[in-house]
Amino acid sequence: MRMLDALRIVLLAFFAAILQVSAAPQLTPTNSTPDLVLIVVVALALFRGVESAALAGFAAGLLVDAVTGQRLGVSSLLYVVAAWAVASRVDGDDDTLMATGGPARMSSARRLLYAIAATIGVQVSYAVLQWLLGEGLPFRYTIDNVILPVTIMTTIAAALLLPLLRRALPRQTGLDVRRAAPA
Amino acid sequence: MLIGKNRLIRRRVIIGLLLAASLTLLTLSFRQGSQGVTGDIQRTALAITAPVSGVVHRVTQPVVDAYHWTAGLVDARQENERLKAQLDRAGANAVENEGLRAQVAKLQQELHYVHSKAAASYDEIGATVTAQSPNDYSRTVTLDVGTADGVAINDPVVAPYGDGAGLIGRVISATASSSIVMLIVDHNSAVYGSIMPGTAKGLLVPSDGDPNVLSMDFVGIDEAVDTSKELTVVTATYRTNKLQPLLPRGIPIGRVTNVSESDLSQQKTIQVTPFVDFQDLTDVLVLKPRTP
Repeated sequence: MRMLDALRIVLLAFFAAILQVSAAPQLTPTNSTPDLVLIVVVALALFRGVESAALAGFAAGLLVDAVTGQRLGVSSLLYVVAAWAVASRVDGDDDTLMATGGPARMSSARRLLYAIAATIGVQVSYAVLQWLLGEGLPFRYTIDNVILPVTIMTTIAAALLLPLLRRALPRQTGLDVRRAAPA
Repeated sequence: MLIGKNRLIRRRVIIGLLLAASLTLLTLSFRQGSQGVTGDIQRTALAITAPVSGVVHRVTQPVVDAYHWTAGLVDARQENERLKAQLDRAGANAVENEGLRAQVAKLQQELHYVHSKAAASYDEIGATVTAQSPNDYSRTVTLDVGTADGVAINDPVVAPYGDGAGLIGRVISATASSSIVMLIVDHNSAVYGSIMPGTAKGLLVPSDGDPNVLSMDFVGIDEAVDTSKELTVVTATYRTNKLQPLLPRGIPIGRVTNVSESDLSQQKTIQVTPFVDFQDLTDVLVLKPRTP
């Protein structure tokens, strides 16, 4: 059961990365595309916890960077931080998590808000990182042609995909977590 | 206590290791470029994903065609009546036919270019774009051809437009079955070009204001640029033999859309709009200069 779940997560992350670089660019009116990998990372952080989300984000980010010839590690870094940030907000601090035994239940609207916040955070961080690396774009252009379109498209995609991902990743209960944990 | 302390420690260790790995990769990538460990990782990832990307590209192509078809409907309001009639007959076949027709038109453009005088000094390798960078920070496309097909680093890549083909970039990385092309609108790209007709030459880099257009730098204020004519920019070679240019001369790049001068500068400011629509890159040609 655990292997099957891991395989499901690997496939989700892999195909999110592939779709993001192969199909999505042709389906959008601008050069920017919805961040499908981030949606999967947020979904994993919400439904599976920070470890799965961070590992999937790291691997998928590496794949996206490698396939498109970008600097390796940039996307991975941002997706890992996004996974950690979302999971931390959802789970609360460590004491809360230990007391409750798993992520709290939440409404669809709140899940979408997490996805939007993560998208804005990743896009702004990406822009700052590129600027620090000396590869940034003009400020106004970055806002108008990168951050805004990506945020809008990712929000739309997240609204459609998060309910599907919730079904694909049924929430693990505290009992599942205890069973899965090594004795 | 439902979650043990060990698990919390494991969480922190995993996050810490992943962050450290990301930063290490980023540092190595910045120092080594496409060589060394990062180059190996990149080529391995490309080799693994290339077949899947190709399949995904083929599977999603009907959806993409349907999207372009629908987008075309929205844009072409003046053709509303004709499209309405077409819509009545439309369905899955119409969408598929539309996609195939567009592909045939592009291939015909490629064929026209292949048979043209401009292409006489090149061998061409036909390729399909299987992946594209997802943002403007790095403008690259991934092709489904690689070294096994004859592709080599720095090979120029063109895409059809009108009756010809325009430069889109050069190959920067290649595996046996796939290759990555840096587009001329990437901020790391610089192409030496000359204005035709005329003698003015300069370096074409993405414009600061709009990276989708090019700015031709280092054109002296005294260079004659006759704006009353249709001015085309093509690739050019250097005057010295010590440095070999990356791209052969004579490949069309774009047209001059604006020329301005300032009393304070000793250079002209020339804006060049590429011939090729970088938003619609599907079929391209990798050019191999023929050796005598």
